[in-house]
Amino acid sequence: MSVENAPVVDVDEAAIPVEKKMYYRFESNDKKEFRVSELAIQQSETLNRLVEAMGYTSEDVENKPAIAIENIDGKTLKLVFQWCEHHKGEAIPVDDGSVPKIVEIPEFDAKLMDIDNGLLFKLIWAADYLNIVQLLNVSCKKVANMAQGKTPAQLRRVYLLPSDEEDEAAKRAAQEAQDPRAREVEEEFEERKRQGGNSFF
Amino acid sequence: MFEFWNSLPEELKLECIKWMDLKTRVRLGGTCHKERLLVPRAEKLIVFSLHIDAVSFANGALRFSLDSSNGDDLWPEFKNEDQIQKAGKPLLSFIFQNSVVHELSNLGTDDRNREMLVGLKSSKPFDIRKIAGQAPFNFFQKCAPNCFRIVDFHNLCDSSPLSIEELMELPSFQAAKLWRLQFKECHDFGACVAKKWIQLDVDVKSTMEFRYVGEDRTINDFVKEMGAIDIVERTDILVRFKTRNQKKHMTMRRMHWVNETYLFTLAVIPADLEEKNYESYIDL
Repeated sequence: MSVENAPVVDVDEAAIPVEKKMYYRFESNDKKEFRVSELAIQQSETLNRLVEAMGYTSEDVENKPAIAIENIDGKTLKLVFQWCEHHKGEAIPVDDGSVPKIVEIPEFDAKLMDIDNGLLFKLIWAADYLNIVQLLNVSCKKVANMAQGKTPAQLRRVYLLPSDEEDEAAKRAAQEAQDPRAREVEEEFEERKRQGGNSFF
Repeated sequence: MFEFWNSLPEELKLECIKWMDLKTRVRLGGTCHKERLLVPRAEKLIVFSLHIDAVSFANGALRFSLDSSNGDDLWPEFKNEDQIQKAGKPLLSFIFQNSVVHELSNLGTDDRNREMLVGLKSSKPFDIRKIAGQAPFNFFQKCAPNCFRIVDFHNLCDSSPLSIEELMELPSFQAAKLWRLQFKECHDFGACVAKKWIQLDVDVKSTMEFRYVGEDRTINDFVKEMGAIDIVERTDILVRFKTRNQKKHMTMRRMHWVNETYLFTLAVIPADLEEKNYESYIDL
């Protein structure tokens, strides 16, 4: 049925209970402010617990200072909240081990993550810190996909991994560079532990 | 390129590795020591099916197919003994240690099929839900406690006999609910299996089949081996008795097979199953 042919019903708007949506205010570490709906916040276990603990009213939300998120910058937080708003109301995946996890990256997420690697790295950190399960899944899957079909040699280039030889050389260099006195202290500490002394105090 | 990989803490690297397919995990482990240590700590891959096909085709090769949740659809082939030892078995070890295998089938009756599962490394217990075919005893010892749910063994005693008594006491079999066993012979008329099934309260339709040569082997021998049982029905060719679960009964049936060979079939049936429906219910 087209929109034109749909039956018209008079609605008494006053009789419909209006759900009052609450928008929380958050501030990034570079002082960018964001307004995020209550439902979108539920995607983040960390933020959800935080706002529940704060018990803000609608007035509090407007009158009190924005909730500071100290270790995430505005550019990253913008992506995070865009993702949360888009996926608000969706079920949060529960890892009960009963079914194999299969995650496809939806088109919206793919576009959102069409960003430079530095920002993708920050997004993964933010998703982990804010405990947004599905955002962590898709962002990590994007990094995993970069490895798909690559040989070990190609993988070393993709992830800038050292070879075993380089690894060994770096370990040796680190040991040589270590302050001899610090090494003595460490060895002394290890010796005391072996002999049963639990600390230097 | 993702130049921030080395800046990710291990727990976030593991979050990424859990989405990698088997081949990528193996290859990542081949890059350097650090990643090699990390890969086995990642969440296990779900392998829907792993089918080992070591039939005696040209030069005794090993082939297997694998289908996993992360998109693997592998058909690796190892053409000779050298390749099997150097690459085939290490790959199988890697799969068993880094996956939850929903179904492992090793159906060939050739000794080589069993050989393929000998000597696999196991720093972590193998987690396999259904096994069909055959495997050596030490393979089952490497499996996680209570991992098996469905057990389907054929020709267990054909060449290198497995001790069914010992097998059924292994921790990996203690949650197995649906069984299908086929033996050439069974020294105690299957009494040890019947007693274990009663203890495990296995599912209806669990069956065991074995053969004896000679008319002197009868249902009476089974009843004697079982000791005290609560018999519901008894004929020359069948005994039906109660289990600890009042919804389930067990039957042992003796049928003429061929020449002087008799086929014995142990089965778990619903307590309300009528005699006329035995044939259609127990599908061997």
